[in-house]
Amino acid sequence: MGEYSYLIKVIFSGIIQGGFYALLTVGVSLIFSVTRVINLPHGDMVILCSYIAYHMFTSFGWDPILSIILVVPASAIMGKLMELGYKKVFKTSEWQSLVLAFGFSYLFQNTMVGAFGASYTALIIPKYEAVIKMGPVVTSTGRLVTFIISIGVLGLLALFFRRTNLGRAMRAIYQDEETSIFMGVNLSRVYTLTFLMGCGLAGLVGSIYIFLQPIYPWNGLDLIIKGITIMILAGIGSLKGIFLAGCIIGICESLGIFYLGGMLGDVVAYTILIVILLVRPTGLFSR
Amino acid sequence: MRKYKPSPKLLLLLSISLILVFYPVLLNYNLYALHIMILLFLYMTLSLSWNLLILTGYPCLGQGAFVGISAYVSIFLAGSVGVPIILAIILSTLIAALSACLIGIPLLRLKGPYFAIGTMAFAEILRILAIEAKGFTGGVKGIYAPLLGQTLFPLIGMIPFDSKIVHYYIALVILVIGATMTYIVFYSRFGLFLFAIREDEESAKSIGINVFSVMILCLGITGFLAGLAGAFYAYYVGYIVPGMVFGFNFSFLPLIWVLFGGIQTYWGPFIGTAILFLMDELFARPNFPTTYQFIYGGILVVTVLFIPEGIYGRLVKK
Repeated sequence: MGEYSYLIKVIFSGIIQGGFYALLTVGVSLIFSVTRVINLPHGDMVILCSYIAYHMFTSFGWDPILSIILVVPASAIMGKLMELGYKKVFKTSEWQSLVLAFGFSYLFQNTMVGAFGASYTALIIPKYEAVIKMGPVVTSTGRLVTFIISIGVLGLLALFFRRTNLGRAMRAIYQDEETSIFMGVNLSRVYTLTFLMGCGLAGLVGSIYIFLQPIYPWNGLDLIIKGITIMILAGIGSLKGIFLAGCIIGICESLGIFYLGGMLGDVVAYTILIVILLVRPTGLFSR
Repeated sequence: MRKYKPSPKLLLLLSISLILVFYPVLLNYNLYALHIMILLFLYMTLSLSWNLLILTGYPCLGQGAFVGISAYVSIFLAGSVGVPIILAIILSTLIAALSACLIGIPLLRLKGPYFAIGTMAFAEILRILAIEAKGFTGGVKGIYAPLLGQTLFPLIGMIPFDSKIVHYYIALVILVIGATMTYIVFYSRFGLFLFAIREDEESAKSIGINVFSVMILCLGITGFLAGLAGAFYAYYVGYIVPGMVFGFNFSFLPLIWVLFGGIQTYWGPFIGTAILFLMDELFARPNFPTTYQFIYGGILVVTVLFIPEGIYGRLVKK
């Protein structure tokens, strides 16, 4: 059993990480599927929001979960501002919006370095560091809370896309933009709401990111590459696919870190990205 | 008979190249002035190579990969194997070009933004591998280039390779090579192929252009120029670490410079790199040592939104 109990622990921690990755990806995938913009600053917004949550805790004693009510509107507003820029280059050429996204991402990173300094910052709250044992697996309260929030929000989003008019409109635009305009979808309004929602999700992810990893201003690029990997792996327009792909990446990564060491664990995700782009660019779970 | 009258453009070009050739003498061998120009020439070469690939509409975010490959390979050849430096630079440049072609075979199946993200991931993988392969690269601690004091040029004889003036002229030669190669590409049949691919890949195929091999060749030239700059950079700085050669400076700064100067134009990269690099080195870094990179982000956003054709493009169009 000895060897295998380790394996179970590693896989379990990969699944918890995967739930987080899935929530991270939903925002990127939502914006990409509706507006065809790869929102590179998404990862940086996550980091910025977790900095805000961190400082709310150290200055005012706000619980990171509580600070969701602050960071989600803040990041949604940032999303609206970025949308003003993206609007100008939306349909001119594909790489222009990518370059613009890159510029935004760079602005975010350097704002963070200027404001918070370029060092690792970890938030340790005893309440969220308590060890939980469930049979063979061990985890901490903070990681469990992260997982529960991720699953809960994913479930709510699934309901949103199925039941509300706005959710249906977003899916319609993804499937066929012109026809959805004829059917009376207000394109620019849906675009704006998509950006508000997608970036709001980045804020949400940011406030739970604190429980998983120390915050570092340059980590946004890493996060967004993982998000893009999962988005492509999952294919567009499938929440279940995003969750499964997130778990696949999470498990591969923790196996990689377990057997190869911390740095090479990151290579696993990038290699999966390149391989999946080459073998099946439409994704594993796309319809 | 009409008297020959050179165009003002040609006169400007001639005078600039004269100034560049006698630049060390004009500035009385000022070492800092030489250093700035050497870096400027290397970065210009990088911008030229980035501009070459974007001619086809494929944005590359992994230029640093070729720079890094070339820098490490040339240090390995000269340091561990004992190849003469000039030969090591040439060989590693060719290896960078070859690796660009090879990585193009899988990556060119991707289009537009996917290609960009693929190249970004490629450079990132190489960076992490370079950190891990400690025996070959020295890991995060980096590796020193071998000392260049007595380098034997096969033809000229002994030249003190480590003096700044020699470095200056080598960098100038590298820039001239880059400028000539891009000039040939721009004003040849091959360049027309590239423009055709940019406008419409399917139509380009239908009139008989072998898109794949044209793109591979274009990537090869891109890798060649980036590798040339990278190999010389390694010796000039004398010390490289993975985060430096595979990192931000070489992958993304050329993008910002070229966009600012004028994308897909011949003179754009020269102008953009000259203005922004000198602004950066002489004004931004000394005055805002911690936040100067913020300025680059701002310039990039403003350029894309308000002058998408770049400074040179705006001047020419009027």
